[in-house]
Amino acid sequence: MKKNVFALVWIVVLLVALAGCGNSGNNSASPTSGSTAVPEAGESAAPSAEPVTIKVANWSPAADMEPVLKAYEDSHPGVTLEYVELADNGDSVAGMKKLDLLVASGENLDVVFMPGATDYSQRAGLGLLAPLNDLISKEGITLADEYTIDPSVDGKVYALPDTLENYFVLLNKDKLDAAGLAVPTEWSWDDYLDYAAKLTSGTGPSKTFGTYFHTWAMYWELGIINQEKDNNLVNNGALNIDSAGIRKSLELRNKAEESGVAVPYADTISQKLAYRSEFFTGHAAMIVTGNWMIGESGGSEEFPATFTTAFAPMPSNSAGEPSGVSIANGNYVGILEKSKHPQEAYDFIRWYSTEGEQMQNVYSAWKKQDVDQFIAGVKTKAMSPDKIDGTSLAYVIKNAKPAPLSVPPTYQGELETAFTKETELFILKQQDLETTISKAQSELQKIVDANK
Amino acid sequence: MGYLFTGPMLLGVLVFTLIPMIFSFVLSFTKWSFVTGFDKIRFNGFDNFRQLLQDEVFLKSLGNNFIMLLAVPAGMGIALILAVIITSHVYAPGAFKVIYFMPQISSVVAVAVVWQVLFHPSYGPVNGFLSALGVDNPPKWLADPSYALPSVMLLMIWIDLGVSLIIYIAGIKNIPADLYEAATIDGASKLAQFRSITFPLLTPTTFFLLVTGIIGNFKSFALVKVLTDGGPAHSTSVVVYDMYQTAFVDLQTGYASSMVMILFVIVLAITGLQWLGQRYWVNY
Repeated sequence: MKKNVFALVWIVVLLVALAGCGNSGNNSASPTSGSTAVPEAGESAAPSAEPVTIKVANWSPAADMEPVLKAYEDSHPGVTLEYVELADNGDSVAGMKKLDLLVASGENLDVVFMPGATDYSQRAGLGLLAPLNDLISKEGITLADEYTIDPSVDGKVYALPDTLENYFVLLNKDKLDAAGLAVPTEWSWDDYLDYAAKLTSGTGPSKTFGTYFHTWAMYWELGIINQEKDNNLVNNGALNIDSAGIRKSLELRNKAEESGVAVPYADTISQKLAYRSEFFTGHAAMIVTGNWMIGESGGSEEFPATFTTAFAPMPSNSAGEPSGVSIANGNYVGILEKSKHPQEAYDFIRWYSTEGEQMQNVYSAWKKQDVDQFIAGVKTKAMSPDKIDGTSLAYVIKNAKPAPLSVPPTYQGELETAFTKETELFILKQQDLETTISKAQSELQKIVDANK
Repeated sequence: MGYLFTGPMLLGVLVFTLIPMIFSFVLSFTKWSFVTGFDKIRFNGFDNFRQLLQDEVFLKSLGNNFIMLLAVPAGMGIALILAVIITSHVYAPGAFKVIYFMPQISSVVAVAVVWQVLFHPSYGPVNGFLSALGVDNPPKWLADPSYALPSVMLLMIWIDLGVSLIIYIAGIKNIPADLYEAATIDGASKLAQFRSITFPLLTPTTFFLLVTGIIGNFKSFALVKVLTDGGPAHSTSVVVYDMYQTAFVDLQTGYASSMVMILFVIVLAITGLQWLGQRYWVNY
């Protein structure tokens, strides 16, 4: 009897284990069936009689997405969109973690959104996304005519650009007025430091700093992300560390740190400061940031607008060079390799990245977007529209020169970690500029070589 | 019948512990990302391990792990002294036990945030106190590559003090009182009593705390994640943190699994050494 029970338990155990294996077998089979489904779906797209369900995954709150999805369903009978909300507070980093787990557990998603080129190229490099070249040539469009951003990775397109992110400077206009400074329209980083010095006031915990630099890698690259060309750490396989641009970036940070016009880096990392609270509480008077902050400058639940926010273009490296040049990054929307309805999914992302964006009133990478309507939309949506300085906003948007961003290599994340490590040692006075440049150069070269 | 009762537990251990462990072992020989599906697993033999030996961040993290081990004996020493004092030399010992146990029952995140403020490089109370004493350039603690790791270790000792303290107090209570009486009659001083009675009879307790402490120390993750994110410049990174970054941020599951294997072997070896060494100093 005892032996029988024992055997029974083991049979159950084995069955569970087998069931597990069976599942994994299915998982490994599904991508292949997905890829064979590509021509099938292409054929069935012509009659398009069968109703299909497309699963769309994004980190935005469902309340924001649903009206847009509803509009698409209404104009495209036969297509049902199912929305998968990846994070409950609009947190894109948490959203990406959830997406990876969902994909790993075999969830049949079709359309996925990715916040930024680094996340996009990483997942394209892992073979998670379906190449869209065939679908694009079938539709007969040239991407460069449609979008500001070129989303190709090694010659293949794995996603369409969704929102457009370029960078500019947010200024606390109340403090600017108090210091008797005008909102700049053409300026260089030297002028920026000058402004920062004039905007710094007070002592102790209530001190107002001229500026705040966040911990992100881009804040160590300010002198290259305002360039038309070669604006990444590695461009076409060539390192960009031992360059005037990177020197300029590091010197800028160092000067701001030493003269005490920027929030000290030690405070930033040890207190884990956040750029929103630093700016909206008036602790820092200027920050370099991107378009997603346009809407927020009108106040949000967490940070109500207590002062007027003005906008200035991205400074240039030296007087005479044009201001307002900044790399164009943004969200990307792609189709999973496993998707069984690539054609329908493609139709949707094409619509979403153009007209859908217009409906949501976000700043998009679509070239035919109506900018005036966008600015008016920002004002009507804002909690306190009078706190947004409309004149400088219009100037900055209309004079922005989004520099074409070459999608970073798939190992961009590793590059940024290695680079940040060296620059941290520099700003914390553990090593000088030349050591930093040469060490970063050799560290990053190792990563490039390892990924050849 | 017994198997029926142990069955659910066995099943749990098998499905949630044993199979994942074996799977992780297999993965350590592959180049794979968990988001890509099982058909993309590529075996690459010992490549991961070879790469790990040249991976500066990993080696730095491993080194930090070993430095961090110092926190275990240091914490135990403090706990032993406090335990002796609390058992026989203070009023209201219960209150002291509660005080020292407090950090243990609080959330690591909350504790870390409080210390973040205390360690504030410019306006924090710690540096305020130091500059009041006349220290000109007080360290920047969590933001200083040479002080960040000691700061984290200090917090670890402070958090884990309560557990060691309570276990030591229990151990001291188990020592028969007649030994002390006999020693007092023979004229032994308090210090001699501690050296010849308390300390030797507590060695099994010390051994237990050392083994669990070292294993726990190797697993430290939450504190590092909340307090410093491994920074500045990887100065507080530990193997488990590096593994987390590699597996869930860089999405390299295979490579991260081989880190885990190395950690497993090291912990196993240290624990084994301790078992072998115990007969020379532990008195049961």
